[in-house]
Amino acid sequence: MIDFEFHSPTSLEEVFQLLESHGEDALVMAGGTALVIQMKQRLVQPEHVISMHRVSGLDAIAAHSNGSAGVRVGALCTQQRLATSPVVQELIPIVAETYGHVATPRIRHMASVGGGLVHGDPSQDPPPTLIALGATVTLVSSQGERTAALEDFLVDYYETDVRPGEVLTEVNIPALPAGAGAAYLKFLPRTADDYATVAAAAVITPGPGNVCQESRIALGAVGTTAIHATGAEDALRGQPLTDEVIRAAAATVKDVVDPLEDYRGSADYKREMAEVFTRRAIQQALANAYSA
Amino acid sequence: MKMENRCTVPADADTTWAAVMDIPRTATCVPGIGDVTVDDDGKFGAVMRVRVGPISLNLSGTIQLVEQDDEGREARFVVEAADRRVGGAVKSDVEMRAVESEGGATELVILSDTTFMGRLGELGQPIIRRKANTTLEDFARNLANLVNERG
Repeated sequence: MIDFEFHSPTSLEEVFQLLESHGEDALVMAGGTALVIQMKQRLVQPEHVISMHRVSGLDAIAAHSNGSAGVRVGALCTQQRLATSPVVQELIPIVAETYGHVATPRIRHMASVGGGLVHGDPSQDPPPTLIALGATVTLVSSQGERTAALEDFLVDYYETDVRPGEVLTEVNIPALPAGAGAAYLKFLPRTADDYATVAAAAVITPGPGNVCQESRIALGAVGTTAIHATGAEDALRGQPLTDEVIRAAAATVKDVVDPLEDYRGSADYKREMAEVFTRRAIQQALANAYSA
Repeated sequence: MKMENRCTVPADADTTWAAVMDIPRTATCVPGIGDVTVDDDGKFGAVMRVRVGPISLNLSGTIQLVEQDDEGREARFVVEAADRRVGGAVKSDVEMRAVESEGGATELVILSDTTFMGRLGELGQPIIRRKANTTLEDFARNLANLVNERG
């Protein structure tokens, strides 16, 4: 392991001061499941690690107080708590289900919701579901606070839009629209705790006559970031949700994905699977809408 | 890793070639590059900041011109750079050729054969190839602007 100074601030103000003092030489650590591995591999070698473990008040799960049924999740909430939260399971069960797919219980007990998103790994489970739901993230610095749509926050391969001095503090997840169904499908041909070969999330709102009122579709593990498949959404919106329409919409994702070849499959194979799993996610979301 | 990249510069071939062979200036077109110095032995020294996925590198190295054919508008360079702190290094043989194309423009052909060592090698070829492509695209755009400024 490399030499570094470990800081344990107890407030966000102290975190901001440390970030200001050490600049690019410092990295913020939440659960540490990603950062510690990268440090052990010496891919990143910070001189200062700012641990968030003693900063309180950033791990709550709270239902929206504005009358909508969404939830606000503190960045330090563990992924296991989100996966098993009664509030989340009741209000937005697809979020709990998606977080239940992440790695293993041991990792979910350590990994934080905010840390996972800042990590920017394009194969993670939560981003497609969160993008399909229209989630936003809140970033705070000593200069103030800003909110960003998750899809804008995920910039590139392991690159996220955390600006100097900023800390991600909260994830705001809207509830499903009335009458909508949601699905998250993870293609796992190897082991249950693996990263997805391809993942697809869909939120579909059917209206009278089975015509699609609204659709949100996002994909994971098929590019350098999670991908919001707006073309597929447009192909569904206002159309009757027949097999033909769903197939045609799913086919559009082949043009927007740009998979990286790895031992889970070639880029061509993942492109084909992206279409297949988008189609299945739409069909599953639609079935869930009618069974709700 | 072998790559072939092409870009079009909106200037005639002689102007483009003259601009390209002004190496300290051309080097500034590479995204993330710092000051370029001319060493005593004819090599050019440069520092480059580059981020590939989770890894941020401060590459320090040299660019050596090993062949130059102004008539044929061809040149060959060897680029060597390393980041000692992170433990990553790059060695690249680069061939550059300027070819007249339609409408008075010039096509710049860049053939490179690059070896990645240390941490960079762990990232895998697909992501490095993608990063190299975007870097060369940015380089071509910056070079086109530079040639236009000179013209």
